[in-house]
Amino acid sequence: MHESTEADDEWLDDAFRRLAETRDDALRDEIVERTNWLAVRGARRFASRGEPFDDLLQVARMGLLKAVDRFDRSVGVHFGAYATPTILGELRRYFRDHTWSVHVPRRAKDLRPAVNEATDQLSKELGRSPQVHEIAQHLHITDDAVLEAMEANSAYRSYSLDPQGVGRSVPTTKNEFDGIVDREVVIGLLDRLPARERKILYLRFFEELSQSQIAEQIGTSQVHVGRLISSSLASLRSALDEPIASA
Amino acid sequence: MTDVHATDTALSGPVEIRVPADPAMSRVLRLAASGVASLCGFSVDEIEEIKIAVSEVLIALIEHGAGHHVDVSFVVEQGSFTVLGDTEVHEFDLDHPDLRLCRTVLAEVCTDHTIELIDEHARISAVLRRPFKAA
Repeated sequence: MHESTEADDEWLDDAFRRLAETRDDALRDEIVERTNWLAVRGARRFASRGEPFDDLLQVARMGLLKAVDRFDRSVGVHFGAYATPTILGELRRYFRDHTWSVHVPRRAKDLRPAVNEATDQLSKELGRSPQVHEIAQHLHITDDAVLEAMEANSAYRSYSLDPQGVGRSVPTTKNEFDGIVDREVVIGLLDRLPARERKILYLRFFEELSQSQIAEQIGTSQVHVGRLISSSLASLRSALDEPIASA
Repeated sequence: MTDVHATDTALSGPVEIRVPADPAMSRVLRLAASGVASLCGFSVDEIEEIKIAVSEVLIALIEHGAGHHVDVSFVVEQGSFTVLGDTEVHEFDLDHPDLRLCRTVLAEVCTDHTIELIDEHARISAVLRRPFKAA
C-alpha cells in the first residue's frame, strides 16, 4: 500500500497552498488522485463487514473529497490526520444509514438521534431520568415511537468519528490514526469470536478485571483464561491482517 | 380524565408471552417489556435496565434449555418490575460457566434474581425494584 513520503508531504503542502489561492479544479482532482490511498486504506478496514468493497471505496472517496475541500493548512495538522476521521465518518454514516444488525423501522432510525437528544435535555431540566411520555410530548410524537427509537439504539450503536464529534479529538499522528481505524475493525471482528471468548475479552479490556477475577467469575482457572485471551487476541490479529481480495 | 402515564402504576395481573426459542425474539420481548414499563411509569433509564434483564433471561433459557418455546411473564407491582422466564430442559447444569455470567449480568441490574430447576423446567426470576441499581 502506498505510504506518505516526505516528498509527498511537501507536494501536498504546496498544492493546498495553491488550491487556496486558485480554487483550480484540475489541481483539486490531482490532490484527490494522489491521496486516494487514504480512501482505499479506510475502505479496506471496513471490508470485513459484508458490504461490497467498491461501494465502500466510493463512500470513502466522498469523504476524501470533503476533506480536500475543507482542509485548512494554516491549522497546522497533517492532511492525512485531518482526512482520516472525515473518511471514517463517511463510512460510519454509510453503515448507519444502510446497514443494521437487525431490521429497524425507518421511523425509529430517523427518530433515534432526536430521542437521545431529548432524553439528555430533559434529564438536565428535570434532574432525573425522564419518562417516555415526557419525551413523546417534547418531540410531539407517540410513546410507541419513542420506545422504538430507544430500541433502535440497541440495534445499532454508532458514534461519531467526525472531527467535531463530542469527546473525540482529531488524531494528529499516524499512530493515533491507526488506533482509531484498528478499533473500528476490531469491533466488527469481535462478532466472529465464540460468545465465551467475547465475554472474557469484554471483562478483561472493558471491565478491566484481572485474569484471576475473570477465572473466578466464569468458573475456570487463571491459566485457562490467560490461554483463551491469548488465542482470542491472536485470532483478532490474524483477521486484522487478512488481505482484502477485492481491493 | 384518567392519567395513563401515572407513575408507579401496578398491573392487576401478569403480562404473559410465549415466544419461539429464538434469540431474534429478544427484540420483540424487549419492545413488549418497554411498552409495559412505560405504561406503568418507569423512566427511560429504568426501562433500559429492564430490557437488559429481559434479554439476559431469554438468552440464558434458550442457550441452556431444550424446549421449542420460552414462556415469559412481566409482573408489575408498586415500584417493581419482575421478569419471569420458563422453558423445558433435559439436562441443566446450574453451575455452567455461562450461567455464572448470566448471574453476573442479572446481579448488576436486578435487586434479586433466581435460577432454578423445577420438574424439568428451568426458571429464571429477575426482580428490578426501585431505586434501580444502575438507573
